[in-house]
Amino acid sequence: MNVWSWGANSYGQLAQGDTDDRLVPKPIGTVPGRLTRISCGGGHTLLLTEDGRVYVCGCNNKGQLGTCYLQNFAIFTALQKIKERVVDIAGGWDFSLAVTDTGSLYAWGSNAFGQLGDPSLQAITPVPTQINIPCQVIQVAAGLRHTVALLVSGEVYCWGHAKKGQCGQQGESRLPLKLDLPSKVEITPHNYKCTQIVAGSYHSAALTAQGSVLFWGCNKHGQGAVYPKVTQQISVPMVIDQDLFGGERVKVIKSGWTHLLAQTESGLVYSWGRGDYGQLGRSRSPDIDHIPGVMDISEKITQLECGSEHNLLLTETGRLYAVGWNEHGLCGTGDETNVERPTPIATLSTTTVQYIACGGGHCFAVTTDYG
Amino acid sequence: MTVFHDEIEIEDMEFDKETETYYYPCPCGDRFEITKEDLLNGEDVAKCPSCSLLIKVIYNIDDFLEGEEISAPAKPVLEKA
Repeated sequence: MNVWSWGANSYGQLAQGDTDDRLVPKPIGTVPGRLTRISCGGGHTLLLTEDGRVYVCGCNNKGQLGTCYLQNFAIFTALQKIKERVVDIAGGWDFSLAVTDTGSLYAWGSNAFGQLGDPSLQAITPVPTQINIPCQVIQVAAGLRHTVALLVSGEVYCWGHAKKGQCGQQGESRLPLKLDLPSKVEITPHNYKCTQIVAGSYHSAALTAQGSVLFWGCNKHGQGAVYPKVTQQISVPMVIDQDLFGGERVKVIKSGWTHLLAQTESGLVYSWGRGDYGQLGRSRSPDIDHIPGVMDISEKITQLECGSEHNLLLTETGRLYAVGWNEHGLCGTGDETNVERPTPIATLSTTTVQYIACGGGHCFAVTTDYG
Repeated sequence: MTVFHDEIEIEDMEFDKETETYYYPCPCGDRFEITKEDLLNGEDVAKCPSCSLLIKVIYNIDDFLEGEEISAPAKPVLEKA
């Protein structure tokens, strides 16, 4: 197993041992163990191994690496403070979260907007701290300044920056600036059980067991599949009409900062939201970018991930495609011209890619062998 | 014409007292930055030191100058207390 990284590296988030950007994928020196998951924040990276341990690297200015000191690391460094087995990790802009196998939630890093879910924690909290939540957590997602948690009951809780409706709070005439305690997102009808969650810069979305997509938060770029000139914000969770996905059930959702992807049961990948850097990977026009449209890729996609303004798409044959914003070499083309249609990453064309991950402006791929 | 990545209200930026600078997340992982001095001089473009993206800062320079006047005399009072 080899791990490759590329893109922006201002703080050592690529785990390459330095802070030089990489315009094409490059293998990292040492991998701390068999990894099961990578989650990237703004300028930092979290890696989860098979035995439930977390390793971190990159920017640590708000304590988001959880290593007690505010020192950046350019190689994966063990997170010592969580003794339980971790099953899910999420990197927000400058904070981090981990879910353990007993359903406990830990958070660390910036709490400036209440995004850690405990108002007693300092604005800079460099130590993983257990957060009180009413039921077992099974999944966590982090946006710029807010957190979304999925509970074993299928309920969704949000906290952190709430001004743009991203915490799904309703009933008040004016949205609170922030929610510093986990708050339940009221979803109607109540029989909706959620199975997956995502967080964008100022929006959140959840997938239901019925295969529909629920959305709440900022709609400035049409993230809610609603024309942004009509509504800029959706603070009450709203179902995105299944007809917009050809009447199919959705099986996976992903979110960038201002665009979203959904894969339907037949395997089609739909994109909508902001598209001016090529994020949508299909023909577009500003007035209709909010309407989900099928991305231009004919191969069968087995994993899709969004960076802030770009996407990676992994095919069933282990080929990796990239599309969108390409400054810092995010799309791995060797140059920095934005990529408008999904394009294979040549450096990885002779290898079999098994797993991919994206941060704001950095990417990871796991392959079975060297090219 | 300059193309801005986004237009951001000053209240959505994070202020660092030590560097007297306002920061906002850049998609590349670094931060857009603009100093208080620049804002007082009427400058409204925050730059990212690592990439080409720019944001326009939305603020009212009069509120900003007013804020200055209020905070200046408040400080000695706090110190006495």
